[in-house]
Amino acid sequence: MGSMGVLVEDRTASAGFEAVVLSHLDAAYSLARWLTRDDHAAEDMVQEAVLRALRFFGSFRGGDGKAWFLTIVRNACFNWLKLRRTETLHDPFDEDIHSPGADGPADQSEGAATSVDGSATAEQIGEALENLPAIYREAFVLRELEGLSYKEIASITEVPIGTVMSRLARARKQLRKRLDLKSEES
Amino acid sequence: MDCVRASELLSGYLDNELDAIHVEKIEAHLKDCAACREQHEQALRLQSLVRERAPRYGAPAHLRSKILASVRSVQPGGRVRGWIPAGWFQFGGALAATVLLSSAITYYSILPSNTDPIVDEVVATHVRSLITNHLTDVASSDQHTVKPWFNGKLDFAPPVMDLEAQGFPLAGGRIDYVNGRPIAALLYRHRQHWVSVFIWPDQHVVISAPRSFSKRGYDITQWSTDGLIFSVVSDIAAKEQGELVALLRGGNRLQ
Repeated sequence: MGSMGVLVEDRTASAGFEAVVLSHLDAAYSLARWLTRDDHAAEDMVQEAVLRALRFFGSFRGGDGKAWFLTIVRNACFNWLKLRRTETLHDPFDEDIHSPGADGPADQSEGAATSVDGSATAEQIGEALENLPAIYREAFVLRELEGLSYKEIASITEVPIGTVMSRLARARKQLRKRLDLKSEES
Repeated sequence: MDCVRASELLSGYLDNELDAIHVEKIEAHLKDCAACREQHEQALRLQSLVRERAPRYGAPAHLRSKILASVRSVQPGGRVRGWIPAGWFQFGGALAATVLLSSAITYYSILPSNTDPIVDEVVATHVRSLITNHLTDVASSDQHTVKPWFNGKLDFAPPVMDLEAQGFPLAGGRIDYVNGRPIAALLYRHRQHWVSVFIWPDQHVVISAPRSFSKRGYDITQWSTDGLIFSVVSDIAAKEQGELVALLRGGNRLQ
């Protein structure tokens, strides 16, 4: 590669990159924020992911740019979590499915305020989400807050679609318990 | 179906991700099993609660501008900073500096920069093919090799012409994805530059006279012929792009 190589017109590099990656900064930050549970760490992860994306943009062959970029963000966050060793990063052992007694409100913080209509507040929902194991949390956030399909989530989290479904089932089960969503009569 | 299996499938059911057979099975199970029915109702409440109230996080403005600045630091002065691998710019020579539109051009009318998202998309696709060095899926200067290559890959037959004698040798073709559909892309070389010609069918759009836009340093010329939309994207001189457009349009009329 000769010296000609860097005589690229400025916009060339970032035109494609901006179209593919930078339009998904909000989704990237949201995923990083939910995974790291920390504003500063989330910013660091997104910045790191953008740099990695820049480096690997050459291997991007078109297709779903959002999934491609979120995979990089996700991997950056998991590396960060791995280093901190504060979280279980594999599928935790599952308890019985709706066994009697398991449906009661589990570890609700005492005296937590509920909203006017008796259901959970934003704060409580955020806390319940943050208490999910990381792999359940990411599946749930990608599905419910980013509106992604199972196929997209499977590609980002690098597991089969069936695993996405069972992780979502477990995430929902834990959230139902934490947020006490039993109907009025129970 | 037992409750353990149903419990997993209920998530897929809630998300509309099950096939018809499983939907039928789960609905039958829900009819019979009060416990799973309650579980599903709770999951529905959870879903609406989370969608309505869960905290949302968007990229903070300062992060966005920091990132934009670092991405664009690749730009000012036309020099790429160290952290962009040089391999990216294998085709840098081919891209060279942008040639400004000359006001004397009369080949086609020049409209103000257009906000049509498709124009953005074809420019981004052209740039991406250069950056990723994914120039062609079928590399051939022979129109009789390139044209049949598209058979069965697209639901239309793009006209393919070699224009080597006129200074635009055909380099090959590839399939791209623009505006939510697969389209044909032909690649021509003009001196050190690459020119992409994107072709896709659209019966609802008629652009009888070519119109041109300038975007991100590239010139885009669009027109339609017989229900096909043509978009030429390059950084060659506008006058030369005008020549190519005339050749392509002349050739299409002959076919």
